[in-house]
Amino acid sequence: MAKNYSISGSNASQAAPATVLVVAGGTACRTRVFDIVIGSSPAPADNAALYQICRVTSIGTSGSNPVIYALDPIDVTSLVSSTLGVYTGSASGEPSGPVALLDIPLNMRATFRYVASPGAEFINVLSATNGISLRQFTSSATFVATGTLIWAE
Amino acid sequence: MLVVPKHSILRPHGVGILADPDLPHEQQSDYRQCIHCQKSWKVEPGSGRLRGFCMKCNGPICGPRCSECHGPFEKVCEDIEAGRVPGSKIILSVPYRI
Repeated sequence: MAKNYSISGSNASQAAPATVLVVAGGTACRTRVFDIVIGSSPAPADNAALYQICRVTSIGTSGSNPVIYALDPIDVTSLVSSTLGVYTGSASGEPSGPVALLDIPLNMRATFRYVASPGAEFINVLSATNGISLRQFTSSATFVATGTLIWAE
Repeated sequence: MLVVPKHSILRPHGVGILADPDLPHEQQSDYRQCIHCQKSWKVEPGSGRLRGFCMKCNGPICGPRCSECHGPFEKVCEDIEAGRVPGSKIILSVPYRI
């Protein structure tokens, strides 16, 4: 039975494009991202942004590694953390080769959640440094976005 | 009588839930996913966007750029991981008697 894990984090305060989170299974496991939450925690303002869920071929310059939480505490440690790890975006070195799988236009005041049906999760290719990223592709102003990704291994 | 909202579909591939303080309640939208590349889109009848359906893979496709069939995405994944060209066929030798 698949084991589920989650991470949360924010992107670096930089002009878009700015990666929020990357889940890189690499060659260790195939991650199936099925739940995505996007929002903004700074003081609300009328700013718009386009977020994307992308399949990336390199994880770029690693920022900090957010803690990976198993949804079932009895599950083993995620394989993702033991190989390439996951990270919040840094101010430089964005992941390369992004292929947008989902476009989410969103106002800064709003929160959006996407839940994939079983069998329709976003899957990363089992190749080195491949992963699924959540990024702020364009925005009307520079602001920090916060996201949560939940995946199954 | 069962009422089906205009922007919903049977068996969506995903659901998007939008919570906006300017709206009186949450908005839910159905999403479909391309069988070839996994690109997902919000179902919007009358949007004018050209989508399609792959009769080989028996699933929706995101548009003309995905009209060439290399197989379902899981098959493409396996091809890439095995170092094969996506969509290549594996020819098995079949024993025969002359």
